[in-house]
Amino acid sequence: MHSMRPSSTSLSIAVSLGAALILLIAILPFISDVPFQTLKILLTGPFSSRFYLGNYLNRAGLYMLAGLAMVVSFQGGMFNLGGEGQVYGGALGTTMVLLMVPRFGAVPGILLGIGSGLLTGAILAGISGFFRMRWNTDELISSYLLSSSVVYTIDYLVSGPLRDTRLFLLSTPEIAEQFRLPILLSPSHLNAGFLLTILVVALVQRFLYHTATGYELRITGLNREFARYGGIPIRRYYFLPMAISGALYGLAGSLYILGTGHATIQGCTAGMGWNGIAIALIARTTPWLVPPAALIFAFIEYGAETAIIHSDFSIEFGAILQALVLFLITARFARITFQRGEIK
Amino acid sequence: MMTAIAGIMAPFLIAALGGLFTERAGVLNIALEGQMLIGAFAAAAVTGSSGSILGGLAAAVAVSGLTAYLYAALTLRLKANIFITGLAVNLFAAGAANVASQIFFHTKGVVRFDSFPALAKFSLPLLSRLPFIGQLFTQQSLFVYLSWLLVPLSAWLLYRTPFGLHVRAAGFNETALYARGISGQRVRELSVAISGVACGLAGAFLAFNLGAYVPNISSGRGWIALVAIFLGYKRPGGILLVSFLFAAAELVAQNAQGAANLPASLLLAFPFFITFVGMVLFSIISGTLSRIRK
Repeated sequence: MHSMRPSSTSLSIAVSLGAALILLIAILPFISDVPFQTLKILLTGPFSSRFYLGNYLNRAGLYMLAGLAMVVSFQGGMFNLGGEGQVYGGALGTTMVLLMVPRFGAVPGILLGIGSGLLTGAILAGISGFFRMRWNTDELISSYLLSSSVVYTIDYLVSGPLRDTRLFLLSTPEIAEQFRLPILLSPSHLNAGFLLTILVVALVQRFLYHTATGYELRITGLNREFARYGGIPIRRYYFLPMAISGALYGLAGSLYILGTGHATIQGCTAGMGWNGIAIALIARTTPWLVPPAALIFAFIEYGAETAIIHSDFSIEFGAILQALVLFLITARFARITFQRGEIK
Repeated sequence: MMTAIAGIMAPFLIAALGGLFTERAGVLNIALEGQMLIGAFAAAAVTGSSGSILGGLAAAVAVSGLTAYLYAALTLRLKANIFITGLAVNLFAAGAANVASQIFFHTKGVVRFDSFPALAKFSLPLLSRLPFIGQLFTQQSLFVYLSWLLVPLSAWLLYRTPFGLHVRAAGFNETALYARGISGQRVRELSVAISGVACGLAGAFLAFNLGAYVPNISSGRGWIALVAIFLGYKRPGGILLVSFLFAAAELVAQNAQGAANLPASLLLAFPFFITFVGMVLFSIISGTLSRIRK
């Protein structure tokens, strides 16, 4: 029904990231009394101390997983718009399972927690993939609808039945101490989950480019008719990219809980699903380009937040920044200039 | 009960009828939600500050229509991926409304206005006497009657005018359109602009109904409208029927919530869930039917 796998050129990536930075710098004089000082903080902020550097890397790490989730989905020619619900679901799944087994040892507990996050995400996205495979239900719309109902349901659960009333936040109780991933760079939140994330990047790269299933997934994503002609069981590849994509989103939620949040707080993973789409596009849907893409995206976002903190406004530019990057990134500027040249 | 249904369904119906044009022109417009949200904000902001309903309406239609047109024109001309940019419109609308709300009204939350004019409600003379469906024409605002009127109007536009023919041709057989010397891209841009105008109206109705702007005021109605287009077999009459069913389901949910004392936050999840279920059921049924016909 719709052509998938957004192709993008390096030029549009440069244009969209450049535009985001320029927008950010252009608004500084309006929101800050000391624009140059703010600009300096904005550009060097993440590297100014161990605390900021660690938190910046930690956030970028979680974004890498979200970006990988969308890479697999795009490579398989599927549009997973349900990342928001899948990350949030993965976070809650991990939290709830670990709250049930407070006496477990560290290693089995962490593995169980990660497993439940993976599974929750995989199921949430897999449902849309399955319906697409079985009854041709448009996965783009269905994954969004399902994810939104999941987000509101979790918001309700966290503020009501599952809420820890001793905390002042709308939050579940915290997971036991032994399940929390060791910190790599104190006093920041950077934790062992980051190392696992790098491993996952390598695994996804290997899966997509060095296994038969990965090859079939990519070929099906490029051209379903060709794949069918080549004898690939294409129906399977409606389901598989969605389930893997959901699992990776779920893993992001899971690692957030194990390493950073320790409890599902209302809205704690909001925005991660959408960021995953932007990052996958910046990375040109290539797994090994996801880490630099996530680092760049997190840097711009971090910069925007820094600029806001050092101003009188409490405006959230996050959504507008995301929108700008998304809007420009699949545009083909090269083609336009070429056409203009032809007319002349 | 029927009176309430008419009010709930009006925004779905108006937005879905607008989205029908883009769908028939061959564009799946996932930005309906954002277009509606930004329209609602414009309507609330202008009417709340000036007291003029007409001014708010004009602002909503202009802002939402312009957003939609820019979105379509830029996307199609730069050959960008329309789902990615549609997503961008949705994110932008939420962000922009939030930022504008802080700049002009100094709040991120609900924007209330002291003197927000109420919509006049009136009954239609003959139709309101009809048994059962008469309530649909009793004590409704102009918007509700407008939403009814848009059903035949959009059918007429689509099936009885050259423009409607162009829209359908753009989605069905663009080469034929090209042979007649008409740009399919231009038709698509216009049809997305039409959806923007419709979403502006729908958003304005939401704002006028509440007499305020609430963050996330559209709360998924644009997506529901999008699904209603599919479930209504991409026809105005079908869309009318599906919108009615969605509105009835939502009313039942609201009443159930009151009766069972469920929290309001859970109610936010319901429209998405019921739309998801409706969409899946529809694809199962239509899949089975086409297999039987073979």
